[in-house]
Amino acid sequence: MIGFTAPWALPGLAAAAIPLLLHLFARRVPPTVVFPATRYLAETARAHHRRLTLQHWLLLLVRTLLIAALVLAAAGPTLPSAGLATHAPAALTLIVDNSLSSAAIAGGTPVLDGLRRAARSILSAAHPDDRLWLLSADPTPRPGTPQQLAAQLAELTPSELRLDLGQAVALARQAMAGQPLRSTIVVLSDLQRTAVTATTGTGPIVVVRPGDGSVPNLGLAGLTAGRQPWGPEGGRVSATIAGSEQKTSALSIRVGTRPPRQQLVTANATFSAASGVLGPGWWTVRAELEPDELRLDDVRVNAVRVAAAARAGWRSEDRFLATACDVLLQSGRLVRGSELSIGWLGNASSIVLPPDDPATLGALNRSLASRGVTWHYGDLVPGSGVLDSGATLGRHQILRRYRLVPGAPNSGAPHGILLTAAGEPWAVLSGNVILLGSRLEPAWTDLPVSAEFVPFVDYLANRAVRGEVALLDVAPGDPAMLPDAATAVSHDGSVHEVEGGSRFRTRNSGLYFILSRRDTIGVIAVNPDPRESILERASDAEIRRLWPGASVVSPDAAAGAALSAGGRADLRGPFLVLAAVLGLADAMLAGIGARRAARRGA
Amino acid sequence: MPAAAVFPATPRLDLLDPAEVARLGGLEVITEGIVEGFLAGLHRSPRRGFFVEFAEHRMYQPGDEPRYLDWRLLARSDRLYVKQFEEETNLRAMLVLDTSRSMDWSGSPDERLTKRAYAECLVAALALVLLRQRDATGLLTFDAEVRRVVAPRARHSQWHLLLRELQATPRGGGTAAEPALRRVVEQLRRRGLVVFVSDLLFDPPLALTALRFLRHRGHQVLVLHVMDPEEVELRGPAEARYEDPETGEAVVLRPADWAEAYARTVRTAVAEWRAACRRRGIAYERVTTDTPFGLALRQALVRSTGLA
Repeated sequence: MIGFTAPWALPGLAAAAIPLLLHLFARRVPPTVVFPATRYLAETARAHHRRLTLQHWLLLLVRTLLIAALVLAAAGPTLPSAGLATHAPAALTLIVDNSLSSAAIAGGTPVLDGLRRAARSILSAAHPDDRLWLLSADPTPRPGTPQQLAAQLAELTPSELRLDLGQAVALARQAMAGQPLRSTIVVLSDLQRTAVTATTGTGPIVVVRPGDGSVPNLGLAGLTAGRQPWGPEGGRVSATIAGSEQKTSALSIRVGTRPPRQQLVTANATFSAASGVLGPGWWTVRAELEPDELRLDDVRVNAVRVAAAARAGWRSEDRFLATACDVLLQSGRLVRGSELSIGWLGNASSIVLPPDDPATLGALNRSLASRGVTWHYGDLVPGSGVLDSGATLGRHQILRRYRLVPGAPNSGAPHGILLTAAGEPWAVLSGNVILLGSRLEPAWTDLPVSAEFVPFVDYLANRAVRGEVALLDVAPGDPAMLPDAATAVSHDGSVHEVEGGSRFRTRNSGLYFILSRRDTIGVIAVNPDPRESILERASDAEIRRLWPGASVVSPDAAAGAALSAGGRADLRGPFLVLAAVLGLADAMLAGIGARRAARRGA
Repeated sequence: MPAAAVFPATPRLDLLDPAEVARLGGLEVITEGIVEGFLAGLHRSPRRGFFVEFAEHRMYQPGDEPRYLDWRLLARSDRLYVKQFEEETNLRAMLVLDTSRSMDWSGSPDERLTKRAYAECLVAALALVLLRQRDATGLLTFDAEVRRVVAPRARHSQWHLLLRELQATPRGGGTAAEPALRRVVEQLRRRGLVVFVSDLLFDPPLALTALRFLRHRGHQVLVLHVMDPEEVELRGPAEARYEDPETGEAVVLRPADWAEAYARTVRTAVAEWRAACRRRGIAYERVTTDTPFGLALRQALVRSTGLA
């Protein structure tokens, strides 16, 4: 079907009606000339009327066609035609998938090499009038000439980034939007099923399917260390394997400098290993599979924080709280001491409950204010409420609570809302003080009589009051939200200052420790996206279902298909030739009268 | 310029340009045929006319008719001489002028005379030439009907009479040539010259029939076809409605488109008139109103010498 590179010019076709409209409506009453020899004119008209009428209509037709041909030429008509030596100027975005999976060795060479060859063949067939973009796993579409893009292509290496092809196609369409040429997207990818996703917009897509099939692979999909900080007794590290089901591989997990634990694993299996007793501090965890066709997903790293049990004091009159603390004492999660006051506002870290006697509330608020705590207790809120911070606790009933009222936060000190009830703060942190809105008694809440109570007290005593350890696990290129207290990020000995609460993004795998001044308050474990380990390819049917109208071709046919999809036969030339011929015909037809007049004049 | 401006109401003695008249003074209207006439002139007559002029004497020879002997000379000189006479007759010419409305038109009034004004000049000049040769010259003007008739005379005042009649002929209407030509027959009872001056914008058959009738009566006939140059080569605005002043017939067209075809039609019409006249022994000459009078007269008179 005929297409146009500048369809906005097509309304100009209405101008083709101008000669006809002039003929029909612009005819004015001619002046009357007294002419004695009218009998000769009448005789002439009778003899030549048909010829001249035909000539007039022919002239009208020629002029109409001339305008139409010029307008159509301006609209840049194109015609689909495969295998053309030349093509109309086209907009072409090459999506070259250099994501982690492109490093897989297939047939002795990296998959990316094959994709690069196919991309080069397309660039070599392009000409300077084409508008070209190159989009890789970056993913930033980069415009350039065929030569410039070929140079960029040569420097392209497998990246640890993941490339969502659906999003990449949408991004490419966005890049080409607004330019007048016919747009085509060429996807050069290993076509992982997990990467082929639905996209938005319409337009021709040429998918170049690599010649070799997918290769078997096993990769580390996850490495977790459970809730932290660990106590001195250590904890367990779990590694998850992804990839080809029929394949097995040897997995080793090492915590710090401890001897590695090894295990034969298969896809979708989870291997857990105990760390043993560890000293306080940060420990790196490294899981590694034996090398296979895709090396970049064979290693995964993480970090754990080991902290000593909180040295806390509690009062026996807080019956339910004291019982929970005794349980934690027996399990080693708490040690008797004075570093933490559980139930009242002490001199050091404190977990503060509201007083049973409302009369003492004012004194407590004044003490809080003098300690620099930015929250204080407000009115007693009667009636029921539900804890609605499900990530930390279940939905427990709150029967009575004091409203927690915020003040101006101290800069630098950790602060924030830990839990909410009925949409209002119920547990808040300000510096090293946690305020709870309710007393931990059945008359105030059903939490003390639930199974979650002891872990909740452990959470408050060992993690929340010390400031939550930020353990972020992201893929390369994905953003990680830094804690508010973060001031810098450290990686391999180099320190980069950051703004607390901002997003941190890196393209390289590894451990990035989050610093708050001198303290390490968390870690960002950057590891490959586990979906990159699944090399199974999407079928042609799946591709066409997700990208309607897409054509799937082999690398050898990439150039022809790309240019025949978007680089259609340029019809501007033929239309201009037609316009020239019509112009000539017009001049000849119109010139007949002029020549007659000239001869008469001579 | 309208004809009235060219020819004011007063007698138009200036009708002829003296220079043109002087150029015409050397010309002679010589016809090849023999025309009957009463006045002796340059034209030979096959029979005896009204006037017989003595030419010379010669010695009597046996066989000469005795009645031509000059008895007086014989009495004085006692010699026999025979008087020789050269019988001569003047030409009787009738000038027939079309004064129809179509004649009262000029394609470029500022630059050229109307066809009628031009034709009047031509007729007046021709009349003067003929009268100087002592040829009896008459005039007939017509449009839809015969308007003025001046019988052929050779007297001196004839030319001025013709001029007055020319100017007195009113602006014409349609054209009816055939009755006018038949009326000429009444005026020329002997064989003579008929000069028919017209734009010939009428149906040819009747006029040709009348012209042929004149030829059959032995008259020499000269048709002077007067045309304006713009009747030969069509000009005008980009598109115009052309209207016939006599019939009201109108045609709307673009001159640029039709000029060539029109010119062909005119050439064909002229050729048909010329051929039709030739077949009937009639001299035909086309003159355009931008042709100098002298040249036009010369062409016309030279052509007229070819009359059978």
